[in-house]
Amino acid sequence: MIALRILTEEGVEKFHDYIQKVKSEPNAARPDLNAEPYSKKFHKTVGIEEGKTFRNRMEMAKYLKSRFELVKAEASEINDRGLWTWLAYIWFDQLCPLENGMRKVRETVRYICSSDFTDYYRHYVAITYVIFDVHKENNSRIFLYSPVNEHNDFIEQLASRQNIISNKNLVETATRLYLDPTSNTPKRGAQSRDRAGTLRRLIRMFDQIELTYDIRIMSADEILDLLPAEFNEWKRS
Amino acid sequence: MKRRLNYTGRIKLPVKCVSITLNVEDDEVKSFNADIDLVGYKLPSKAKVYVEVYHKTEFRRFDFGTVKKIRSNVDTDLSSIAYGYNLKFRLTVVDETGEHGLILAHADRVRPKSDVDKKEILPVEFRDIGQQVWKISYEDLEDAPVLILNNNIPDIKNLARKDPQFFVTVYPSVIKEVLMHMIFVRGVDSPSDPSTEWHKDWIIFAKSQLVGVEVPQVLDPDNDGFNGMEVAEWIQGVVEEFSESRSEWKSFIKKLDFGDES
Repeated sequence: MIALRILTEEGVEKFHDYIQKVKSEPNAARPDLNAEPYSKKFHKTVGIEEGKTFRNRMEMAKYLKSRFELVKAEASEINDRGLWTWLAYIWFDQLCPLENGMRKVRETVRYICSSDFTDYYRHYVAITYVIFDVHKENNSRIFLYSPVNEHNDFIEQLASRQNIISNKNLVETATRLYLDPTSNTPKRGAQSRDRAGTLRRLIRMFDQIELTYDIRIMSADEILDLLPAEFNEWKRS
Repeated sequence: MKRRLNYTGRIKLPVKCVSITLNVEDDEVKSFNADIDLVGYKLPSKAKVYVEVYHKTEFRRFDFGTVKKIRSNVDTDLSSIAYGYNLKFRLTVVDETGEHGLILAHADRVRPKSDVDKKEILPVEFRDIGQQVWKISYEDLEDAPVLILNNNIPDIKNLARKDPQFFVTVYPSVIKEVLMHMIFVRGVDSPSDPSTEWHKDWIIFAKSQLVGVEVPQVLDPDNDGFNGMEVAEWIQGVVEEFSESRSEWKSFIKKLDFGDES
């Protein structure tokens, strides 16, 4: 167990160098950034298990939520790119695993949290927690079913749109259409590009109806009623 | 081309119809004040007026009463908001007399007063963008442009601010790309009074560069009168005038002559 820390800009830079390095040297030793000037203590003591493994993003979200709740940390306190980047740093072997002597290093913003939302939602840890915190367990399932090092289409398509991810009723609508409640994974074909009533079509519908209707205060039932017939198959299945 | 149709005749209000002032203590946003003026927009007196605050996953809505009776004593507490910086505001007028609330009018991307005072037409951000020096990202609800500079380039912030080579080679291309995107991809509905706020800012900027030259009358490729060649030449004129007006050219040439010693 290690106390939660926040990477400083200097620490972020070192971590960035390390990420670049493992592209050519997958076994390179991770630098120790758990000391100043590379990181500083979070102002409350939150114990984090460095060796903790998660089967999926939901497990990670629940784990972090329980840790932050123990010390009653507010959202405004947690919202710190250095904090999310530190978590990605200590869990790096899980987020970028060494397999057969190789690491599949994704774009840097997956590990180093961007301060801008256009990239922020791509961070493996930050968006996992934020989605769970905003939408709670039930409506987070459509996003958090995948392994911690996989960025699925629901995160890419829905979480990247501020008007959608900040609207609980729209997220509930998407969950009710596309989540298979028995497996807690998306229904087959929900992410298809060429099938009627799929996720991308829903986003286009959201963009259209929000110009006319005050969808911020409409329930998921009311929004579902507004959707055209092409979505009926998904409502029923 | 991305199009947003306005079948319901909702009114796009100018951002000046609402003035937002943030109340800040110890560098933290605590609340805000909104001064709303809807006189002259012919909105139903019973329509509801909301001010919405948003950023990232955050969204808060505050009830400011009705068009006829705008409330002044609204509790606008923002102290628990997770992202207290770069907040954007939206004014929405809603007809709630039917089964579903209908949006009658809105003013989007309203910035607090302190931000308006230092309004910039092209915000700059520094990110890892692979092996590109720069790119334009079109963001928020109006797809406004943001210049992204690669934070892997050493000393990029200083280069962007001071380096003559950067000014001479990067910024003209940036201006050209934004104007081309604005007109050929998005389309500008009215050159004299664009309904999209950032289009308005960029038209003003273009006019300030190309003084004395008329803006083409049609800047929407979907409109019959659109003349792509004329528009392309106008954009090129803006870029050339921008380049001509910069003093960095001499320093750039000097640097090439003498290398880094200059």
